Amino acid sequence: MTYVQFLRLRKALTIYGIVVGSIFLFGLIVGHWPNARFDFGHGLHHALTETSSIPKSIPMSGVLFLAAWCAIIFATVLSTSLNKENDGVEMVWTKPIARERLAVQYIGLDLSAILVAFACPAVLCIIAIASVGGLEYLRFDARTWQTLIIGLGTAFMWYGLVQALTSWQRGRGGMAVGLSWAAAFLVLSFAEATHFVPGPLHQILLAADVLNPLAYFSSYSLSGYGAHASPVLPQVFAGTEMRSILTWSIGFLGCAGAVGGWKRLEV
Amino acid sequence: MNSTPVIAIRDFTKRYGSFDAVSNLTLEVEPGSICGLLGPNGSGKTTTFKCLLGLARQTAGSMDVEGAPVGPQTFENLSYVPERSALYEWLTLADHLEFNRRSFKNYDAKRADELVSLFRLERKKKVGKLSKGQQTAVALALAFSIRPRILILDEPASGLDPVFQRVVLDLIIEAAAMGSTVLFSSHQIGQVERAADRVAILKNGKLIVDGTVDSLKGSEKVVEAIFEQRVPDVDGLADDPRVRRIERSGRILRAYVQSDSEGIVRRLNEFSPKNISILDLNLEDIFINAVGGEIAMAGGDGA
Repeated sequence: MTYVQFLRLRKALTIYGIVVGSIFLFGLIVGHWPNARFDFGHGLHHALTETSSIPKSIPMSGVLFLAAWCAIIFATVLSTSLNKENDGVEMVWTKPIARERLAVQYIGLDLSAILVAFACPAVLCIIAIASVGGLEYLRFDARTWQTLIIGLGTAFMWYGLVQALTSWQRGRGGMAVGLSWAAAFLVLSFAEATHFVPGPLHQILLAADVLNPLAYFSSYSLSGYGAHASPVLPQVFAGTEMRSILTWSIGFLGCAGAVGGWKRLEV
Repeated sequence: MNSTPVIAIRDFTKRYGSFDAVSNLTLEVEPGSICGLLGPNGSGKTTTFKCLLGLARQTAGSMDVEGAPVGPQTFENLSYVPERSALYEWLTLADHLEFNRRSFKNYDAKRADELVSLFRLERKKKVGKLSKGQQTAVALALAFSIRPRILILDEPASGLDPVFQRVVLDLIIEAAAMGSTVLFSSHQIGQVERAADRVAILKNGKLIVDGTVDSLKGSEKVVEAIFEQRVPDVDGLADDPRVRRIERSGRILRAYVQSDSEGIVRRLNEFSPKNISILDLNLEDIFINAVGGEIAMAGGDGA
């Protein structure tokens, strides 16, 4: 029953792979120009070690941070999969399968694709690091797992929220995705601007940030290690465990709401 | 024949706000029969189909298919062709057929091949590149490829040329002959007359005519009189209890007569028509009488 969604995801992942691969290759070449050569076996390694550009410690959390951002973007692209069906929903709703079951299968497939979208840049980064002989400097620590869990949780949370907002509507899915990005950045920016935003309004923005996926992930940067309090979330949600639980819980609730909304849609 | 109706709609009402799209519709379709649902645009045909299939919720009443409300398993043996294309424009016919193959246990690949040939469709062309008629043909090929026990077709010949309209009609008749039950709507009254055993006519969401085609056609006669000049004033004919309605068009007068058509002929002969004849009603007459009588009368009054 999910054949069409499978085809849709295959197409999306192909485009994603081409874009991520191209950006990655471009970045690799430009970043090390003019010493870089397309000889990943020796040339690039030689050039980079000569210029001493390999850091002696490469945090894996940085690689996962980058991969999570890619996965978040990809997740928002997929987050209207139920909404996409609604224009010709007679096609899938007249198949011998319960709507909620079909919706869960769609979401399951989407989440698998998001995992692939997460893994793709991570693997590319590791290949690049390995190609310049930096694999031995790759460092795994507690922050690696935190980034993995919260990064994927943020992607899932965003996916679930947009699904919940769009699954019961016909059309306007693309607009909802665009607005979600704009809203996420705006609320985050204003919540961070403690000097300009009056106290009560700032408290409201902090409360709104509980539903803002970016608020959970923005505190993870390439610099600094270990979990630290986010300035854009109420203090009670600042702990790493709490943020992990919240992202996954909100994502789950969003998906459950999306399934319910889709089931109740009338055409 | 099993007397349990395959489709049973009882006191069905669908309300949008204060507007009754359909009100108190009761309709049953017997196994192996073809029921044509007629009505002007906005009369509630599509709403009825959607509620029957669970695509929309009824406000009141019950709607059963094979003795139970529609559930996922119903669709194992039910095909629906909507009025508006619900196909994926970015997919090819081959993709759609594969989707059907994966979705239905009783998908018949050989039958699908026959239908693709019958409609002269290209498997590798994206559906979005096809004409409206070809898209209808794709939807029909998909619908018939699972050899369904029940077919619900909303304007199945929409956009098709007369040759393919005939093909669709033959498919419907053939399916019913093989035991399928068909409920379909169409604006092509000739098609309905040819295929349907039974006709239901909706107007403003209400069922105004329901019966077998033969019984409806036998219920009235048309006395058609052609005059040399304009139609004369036929005093009191419209008030005659035997006459249900009079229609004037140029030099032609048509009287829709419920009984004693010979008596009406004798009465009209007093006005010396050039020609007078008694005709059987056809389904178009029945439809116009039911839903468009006022329009026809108003438009045909000039001589």
